[in-house]
Amino acid sequence: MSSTHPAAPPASSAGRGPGFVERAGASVTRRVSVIFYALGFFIEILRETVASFARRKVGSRVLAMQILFTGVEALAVTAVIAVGLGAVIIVQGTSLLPQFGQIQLLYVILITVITRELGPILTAVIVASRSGTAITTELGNMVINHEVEAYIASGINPIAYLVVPRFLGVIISMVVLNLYFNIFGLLGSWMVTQLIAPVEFVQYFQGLFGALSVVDVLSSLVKSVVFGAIVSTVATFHGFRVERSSTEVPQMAIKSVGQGFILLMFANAVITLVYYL
Amino acid sequence: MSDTTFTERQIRVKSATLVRDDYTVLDDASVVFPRGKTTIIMGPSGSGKSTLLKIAAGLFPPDTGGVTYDGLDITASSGETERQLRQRLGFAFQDGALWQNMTIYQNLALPLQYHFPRMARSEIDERINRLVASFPVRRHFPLRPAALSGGERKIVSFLRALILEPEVLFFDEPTSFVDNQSADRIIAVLETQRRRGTTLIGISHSAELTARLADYLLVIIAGRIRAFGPVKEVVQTADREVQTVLTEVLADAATFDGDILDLLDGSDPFS
Repeated sequence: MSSTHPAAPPASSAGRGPGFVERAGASVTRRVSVIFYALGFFIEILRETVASFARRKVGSRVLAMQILFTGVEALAVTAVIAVGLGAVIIVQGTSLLPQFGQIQLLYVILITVITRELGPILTAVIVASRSGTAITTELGNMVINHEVEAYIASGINPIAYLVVPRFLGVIISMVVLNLYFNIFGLLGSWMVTQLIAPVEFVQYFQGLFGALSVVDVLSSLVKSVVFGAIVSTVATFHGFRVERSSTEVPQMAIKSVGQGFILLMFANAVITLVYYL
Repeated sequence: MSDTTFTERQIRVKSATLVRDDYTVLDDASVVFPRGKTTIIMGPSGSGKSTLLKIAAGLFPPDTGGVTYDGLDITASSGETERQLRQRLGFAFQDGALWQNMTIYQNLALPLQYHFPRMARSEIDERINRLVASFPVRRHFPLRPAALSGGERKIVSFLRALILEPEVLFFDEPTSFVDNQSADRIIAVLETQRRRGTTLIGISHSAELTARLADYLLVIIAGRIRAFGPVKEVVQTADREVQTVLTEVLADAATFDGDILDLLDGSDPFS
């Protein structure tokens, strides 16, 4: 693209610069417009996702690569964190609960913490840190290299071809990783139990399934889907916010993670609140 | 400026203005690119040539004004209308803009696979092989763009722009940083497209390309269109800055065959 030239001088150079109120007003206006733009972007993703299914043309190669990177390659780190968390709950639970005569609550606590609360949110944090930044960086670099313009020029809708497969890939991966997190977390807790107070495998899991309700599973599933949508939307949105310079790419990646975390915590609180209503 | 009143299958840019970081990149640009003709855009570095070309191609919208093709607003169209419209326009990028995560073959095949999902693999192969026949590109098919030189990437970008056989081809300096033999082949392909009636709109400071192809010239300086019209009219402009831009390019054209030679004809039209 052509470089800019001083055909029109900056408004501020013509005289006194804008005052505090003007700057504050401009900042608020800019932020509000970004929020509305992000909402419009999300609606466009949903629209293109439905349209992609309707014409049976989801970028299957991009989708497969996204699931491989987000879901499969993150398996190891997810498993380690899940086993560690399950172990910590057992160690703390078996030392604290008997003091109150409430050891029978251990299964409920395991389900509440791993399945309903920390499983989905920790999985989302792993995916946002790992895949969210990767998506923002990849798309940001594509913008700078004019690859996104090349998609437009070739009549290929960048939302349909670049965003929808990543949107679906991250959601599918999030659901699968959350399932793995549950399996490894609950298995990890059982393994640590064997070191402290051995329990039969069948008896242990019967106790867990006894404490597990359909609502727990639904809550966990809904969170995974919502968190996957948040992480992928925020990551792709910030990737496309890169305009010209490669220095914008890491800046947008940082914003993607930061804003992703805030939205994840907010969504988690809202869904948990709904669960208890 | 020439009064062009074409009514169909034309690219019409109307009062397009683009401001970035308080700088006016494009200032109230209005132009109708004639159908089936070749328009070469010229101007100093940073004058807004690429911006005008990309806005005309609908790659991004201007802040104010608009672009229509065949009466359809390019930047406002969406869905199937947009897809069909884009299929009729090709764009060869100055820096290649190849998709880095794909091989050269995939770069050429993707537009076909996307627009014609039922097209057989053999037909895709046949169309690609026919397109690249006169270029040394086939041996690069399994490679990623990063493995190619800048010139080779430009050639692939140029070929990718042609793969859908567009009605309008936009090109941005297709022969710069390309070896002489490949530059000759690119110009030959453009001449073939011109004979077929493809509307060609491009930026070039190549005297040879301008001499062999240009029907119309557009000169842009500091974001403003300063001259646009048939070559014969534009080279006789009294605007000194436009003369300077043209002199730099067209003076070299005396070494090539073409219509412009007749215009220059041994005398300096700018004196």
